[in-house]
This record gives sequence, structure tokens and C-alpha cells, in this order.
Amino acid sequence: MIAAALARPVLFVEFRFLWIFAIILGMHWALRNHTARKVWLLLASHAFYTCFFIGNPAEFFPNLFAGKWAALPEGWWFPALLWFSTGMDYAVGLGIEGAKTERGRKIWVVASLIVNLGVLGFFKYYGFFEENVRAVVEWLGLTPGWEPLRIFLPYGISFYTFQSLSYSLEVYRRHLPAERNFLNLAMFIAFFPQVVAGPIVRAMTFLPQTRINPLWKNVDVRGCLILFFTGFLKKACIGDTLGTVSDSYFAAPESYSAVSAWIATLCYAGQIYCDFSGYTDMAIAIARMLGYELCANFNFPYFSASVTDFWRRWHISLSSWLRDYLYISLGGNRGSKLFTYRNMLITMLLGGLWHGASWTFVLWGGLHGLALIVHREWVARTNGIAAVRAAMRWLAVPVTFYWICITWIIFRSQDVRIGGEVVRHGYDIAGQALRSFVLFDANGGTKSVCDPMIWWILAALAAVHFANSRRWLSRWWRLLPAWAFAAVLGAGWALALFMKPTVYKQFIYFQF
Amino acid sequence: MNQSATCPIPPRDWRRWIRTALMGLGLPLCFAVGFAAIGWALHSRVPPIRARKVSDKIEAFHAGGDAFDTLLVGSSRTAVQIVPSEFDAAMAARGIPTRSFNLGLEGFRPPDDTMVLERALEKRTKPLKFLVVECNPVESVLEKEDRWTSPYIFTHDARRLGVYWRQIWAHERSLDMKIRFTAHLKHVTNYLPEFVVHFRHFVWNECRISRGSQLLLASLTGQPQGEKPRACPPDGFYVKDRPKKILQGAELTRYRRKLAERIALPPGIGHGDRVSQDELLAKKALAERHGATLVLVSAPFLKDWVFTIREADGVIVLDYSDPSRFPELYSPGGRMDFGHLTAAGARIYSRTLADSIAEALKPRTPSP
Repeated sequence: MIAAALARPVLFVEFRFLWIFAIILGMHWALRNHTARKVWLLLASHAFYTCFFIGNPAEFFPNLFAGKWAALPEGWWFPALLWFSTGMDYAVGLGIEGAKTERGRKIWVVASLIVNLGVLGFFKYYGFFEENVRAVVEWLGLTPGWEPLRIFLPYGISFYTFQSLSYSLEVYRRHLPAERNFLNLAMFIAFFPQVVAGPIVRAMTFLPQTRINPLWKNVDVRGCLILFFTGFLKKACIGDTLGTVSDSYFAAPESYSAVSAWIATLCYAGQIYCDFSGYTDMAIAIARMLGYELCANFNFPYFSASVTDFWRRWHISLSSWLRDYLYISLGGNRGSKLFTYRNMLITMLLGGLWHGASWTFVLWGGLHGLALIVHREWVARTNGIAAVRAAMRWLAVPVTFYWICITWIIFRSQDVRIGGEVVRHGYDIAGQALRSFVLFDANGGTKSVCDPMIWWILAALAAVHFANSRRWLSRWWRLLPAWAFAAVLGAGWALALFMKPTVYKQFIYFQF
Repeated sequence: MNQSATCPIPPRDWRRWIRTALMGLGLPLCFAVGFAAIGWALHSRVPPIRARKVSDKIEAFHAGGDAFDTLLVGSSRTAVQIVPSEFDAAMAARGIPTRSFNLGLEGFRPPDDTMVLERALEKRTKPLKFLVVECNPVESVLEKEDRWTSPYIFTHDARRLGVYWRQIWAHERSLDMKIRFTAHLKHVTNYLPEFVVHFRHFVWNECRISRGSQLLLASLTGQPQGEKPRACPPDGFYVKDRPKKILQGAELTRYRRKLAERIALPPGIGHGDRVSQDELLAKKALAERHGATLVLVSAPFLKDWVFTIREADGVIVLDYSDPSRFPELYSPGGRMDFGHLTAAGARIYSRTLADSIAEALKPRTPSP
């Protein structure tokens, strides 16, 4: 029964996750010894991560022990990469601290960067690189003399690589002592609530938590239950429903009207936010139930008053990582205006590339970089003009949101592949969708992607989101007596399950 | 009188434990009450899921109004083996005109078939002539690949859940033999996890899980979500579903071996367990309510034992499980696979069935 439950990736939204988590949680709090708890969580985390790759354990392990390599699923050995990353960073941490000279410290940290980014680069970007080289060779009229290598991207590699890099960099910058307890470091990197899709937890915030034995009495059970429920609602009920509408549009944007382009783009904006922030809410709630705190990842990003503000509110763990370890390492704003802008652009281009090996992601990052520069210039030039300030009070949020929506179109427009072959390029889809969205020119497309009722749904969702941003909805359930809270939660789950899709869509950020 | 002398206040720790235990029991109960209240409200207002073929067959039967007077109910051995047109023709030739509808469904055994029968008959106003039911014991263990298919979810209502619950405690041969404690324990431990699956199906079906999303998307996109309707033939017999194949290879060898065994030693008769008998009685009650003669059929299939009814008064029991008595139904050439007949075999079976019913209805001449 357990083997069957772990036969495919366990998603937080699935029912089987509940009882798997119940076992993990029960055992975690039943153990009194701190080390035993950490060992248990580490084993559970690796089991959780491993089930993304090995298929049915009841078939996998007999095949493995019998040496039937061909019968093993593709990428079955990827969980070993997590151990490799952990072991290497453990050694690097000790190496940096033990180095006698500054040069020695640098060699260790560079080694960590090369290996971590090398592994990430190979798995994530080799195919992209090879495809582009092939295109150039063909453009030159030559025939590529090599066969393309099919590389399967390990789940969560972008997240845990950045997480383990944060450890090496913090030790190198002397912000953190090297971790001598391997168990603590291994748990930090593999902790199952965040290993697959973040948030990208910093060593500085998580490692100190591994040194204190958590207490059940400090767990805010009610808050955790509500946060998990909210995450489920966002991901399963809202994100997946909106996703169905946007998927229909982006499959063939040329068939649909300009109004449909607007609907699909707004639906995608809602989907990606609900999908990712819903996952994050669930991850944070799960970690809190186990006595650990993960960092926040979202802060009502669609109410941002500028692109700069947006990046302080969207995927905060990634944007702050890029700021602290890339932008500042490049020199940040300690130089001329042009130097600062260059750093901003590089950071955002690489941030775009982090999301996936595709030119549309690079373009998406580049557009955000340009927007950050434009915003900086705008602020500098209009500073002190009262009329502009007054206008911006009303226009800043909608203009920013409009821009974000434009960039989401590019983000969403990925190559359509059938059997590995590109049958439609992402830029082609993006071009058509942007033309409809920005210029209201649908190029002959007249179909409607869905019923006009969607506007009411989107307006209702926006109103709830606004109310929540003002904390109007986040307190009342604390005032209920325990029995009433349990009954209301039960009623809420009945409604949420009524609205959940029959088949869940994969979490969007799993592919990154 | 000093109360505390007779009823001492428990020490602080005890009170804390009692409170924790009450909370541990009470809060999940409150959760369940809240869940059930909304689930019940949704159940009463939202239509259930559409189940491929099941809903189609029931709707087709309802659409036929009261034109049909004979219902054929059972698993695939009814769905693909009893041809209504052949059956009706053979009955007519015997002077008993009928118009039959095939309500058989692949993989449907009791209690699922009872539920389908109930749904089909709920709008019935005219009496039926015959209710031909394939006689199978209750089957709680679902095939793995079928578990989350809509037909199985569709059949999970409170009555069916009760049947599955009782089945946990009833060994499948408990009416025929003395069951050892260890065998009973093994049965219970096998069936309990299965009941959890049934319970989930029940909650899924009765609380209309995912129905809101389906209905919302259907109204947004204008396309029906979930199972697409599949046009049902007017007599319920999906001719196109019959794979054009014949028993061969290793399966043929296995079939021949088993056939030889069964000819040498015909299968014994058994009554299964109380739950399975109750299911037959439920069908008998349905037949009586609709004025039909209940015909219980053991399909031509090589079984180790044949399940039959205990209280057979007023019921026609037809048993085709003995290959030596019905060689034409067991010829390897007339078999599609181990358990099913080919189209030609199905025609023979349909006529044989009609002949047997007509024969059973003949008034018996008292022996001198």
C-alpha cells in the first residue's frame, strides 16, 4: 500500500499526501530526541524527493538489485545528485573555514560555484545550448554531425542548487560559520516541503533552526490549517480552473478574438500566481507544522505600484537571492548609472534564464530588466513633480499590472513540442497573443475563449484578493471557538473539494 | 452531603488528559459534521457525475419509456453475451413475445448492478415481464485499473457502502462451510483497506467532489466536462464493443485444461454469504415490485463453484456452468477469451437462454 502511494510524485494537493504527511508528522512529534527527529525528517525528505523519479518502489528496487538497468525509469539516479550537492557543500563549507588564506577561501567558493552551476547548467541548459548551436550550424548551410542528447531535467534542481549555493556564499562572506553537523546541512538542502519548488530558503535563516529542538506548543496549528487550506484553494480550485481557460487560448491564439486575449492573459496571471503562491502557502504550512519556518515568497504582487515594487513582492526568495548574490556581486549600484543598469539587466536576464532554457524566458527577464531601468529613470526625472505624483497614485498599480500581463504572455508562450520536435515556436505564439492583447488586433480570430461570466469571476477574485491584502479576511477565524473552527474548516473543505478539478495540473514551477 | 468525598476531583494532569482526549475526538467530529453538512447540501442540489456507458444505458432505458418489458442485468457476461434481438426472437418463437433491454455493464457485479437496476426502474410505471439477472456474489475488491473510473464512483451510495461494510465481516463462503478463525481474519484484513477505498468513492460521489469545477468549466467553455456521453443503442447492446478475436495460444491451452477438469468434475453449488444472498433478495423484491418474474442465470463460465439463491421460490434459476450439459456454449471455437463468448457464441447463448425460460414457464404435468 505504501509502495503504491509512493509510485508517482506526491503532490501536496493530493489526498494521499495527507496520510503520508500524517505519518511523517506523527512520527516527528512522537520522537523526543532532536537528532532522531532530524534523521527521520531527512529520511522522509529523501523518500519524498526520490518518489519523483523511481516510479513504483515495489518494481524499482527488485529491478535495481537484480541489475536490470534497462527496466529502471529514466533519471532514476537523480536523487543521488541531492546527496552529491549536500556532500560537496559540506566539504566546501569546512574548506572555506579551514583555508588559511583569502585565496584559499576563494578557491573553495569558486569550486562550489563551478560544480553547482555546472551540474545545473548541464541538466538545464545543455539541450538549449545544443539546439542553438545546431540552428547556427544549419543556418551556415552545414549539417550537424552529432546526435542530440536527450537530457531529463531533475525536479527542483534550480531550487536546491541555489539553496546550497547560498550556504557556500554565506560561509565565504563570513555571515555564517561552516556547519559541522552534516545532518543539519543535509536537512536544510533536502527538507521536503521546499525541495521541489521552493521557496529558496537561505542557510542563514534555516540552519539556526536545525540547532533547536522544536516544541509542539509553539506550533500555531490553526494558522497552519488555514494556510494549507488557502494554498489548496488557490492551487486546485482557482489556479487550475483559470489554467483551463488560458491553456485553450495559448494552444491556438490566432483563432481567438482580442477580448479572448485579455481574458486568457488575466486568467494566466491569476493561474501562475495562485499556482505558485498556493504551493508556497502549503509548503510553509507543512514546515510550520513540523516546527520550522520558511521564508515568505509573495506579498500581493499584483498590487505593486512599480516593477521594482513587483520584484519585492513576487517570488521574493528568488529575487532577494539574485539581488544579494548576483546583483551585489556584480557591483550593484556602486558605480556609474550605466554600470548599475548593466548589473540590473544582467541580473534580470539571468533571472529569466533561471526559469527555463528558452529564449522567451530570456526575453521575459530582459523586459523586466528594462522596466526596472525605465522605472528608475522615471523616478529620478519626475521626482518632486506634484501632478505626476497625484496621477501615479491612481495609475501606478494598473500600469504596472498591465506591463506584468504583457510579460506573462511572453513567459507563457513556450515552444509546442510533439515527440521532442518543435511544432510551433514560443515567439510565434507570443507575437500573436501580444498583437491581440496590446493592439486589439486579433488577425482575423473571432472565437471566444469562454463565456463572459469569467469577467464576474475575475472581478470577484480580485475583490477577495484586495480584501485579503487589507487583512480584512485574515483574523475572524481566530476568534471562533475550537469546535466552531473545526466545523467551519470541514465545511470549507467540502466546498473546496467540490470545486477542485478532476485531474490536477502540474505545478507550473515544478518545471523550473 | 459532601460531594467531594464520594466523587473526588481528579488531579490536574488527569483533567488535562481528559480535555486533550475530548478535543482529539470532538474536533475531528465537528470537522466531519461541517463537511457532511455542506456535502449533503451539495448532494441534494447538484446532479451526480456522468458515468460512461452506465448513465448512457440508464438514460436510453428511460428514453424507451415503458416499451421494454424485459431487463437483462449483469456483468460483461450479460453486456456482450445476451443479444436482445436474438433473445426476443427466440422468446417470440416460443409464444412469449418480449422486448428486452440489455442493462449489462462490463465489470459490474453486485452490489453495483443492483444500484443500476434501481436507477433504471425508478421511473418505471408499467410492470415488467422478466428480470433476467446474472447471478454473482457480492464483489468488494475492485480491479486496480478500474478503481477511479467514473462507473465505479457513480455506484457508491449509502446503501452500497453498507453492503461493503457488511461484506468485511462475512467470508465469501460462510453459508456453505465452517470458516476457520484464521481464514476469517485474513478475509477481514484483506477487505478493510478495500472498504477505505469504497468509503472514499462514497464521499466523492455523495459530496459531489469535483462536480463544481466540471459544471463551472462546462458553463465557461460551453463544452461538457468529464465523461462524454456515448450514444447507446436502443436495446442497450453495444455491438461495436465486441472485439473480433478468438481464443488462442496459451489462453486456449489453459481453457482446454480447465474445461477437461470441469467436465470430469462439474462445479458445486454454493450460497456464498449472507450479504450476497441479501443482494439477491433485494433484486427479488425489485422484481416483485415491478411484477416481473426473476430469472437468475449462472453464465457459461468455467467456475470452481456456482453461486445461487437460497430462497428460490418464485424464481427461475438457470445454470449454464456445467460444460457437459451445454457443450455448445463451451466450444473453444465459440470463445472470444477465457470468460467470454464470440458474437456467434453469444447468439447461441441468447437463444438457449430464451428456450430455457420458456421451458421453465411450461406448466408441469403432474406425474401419474
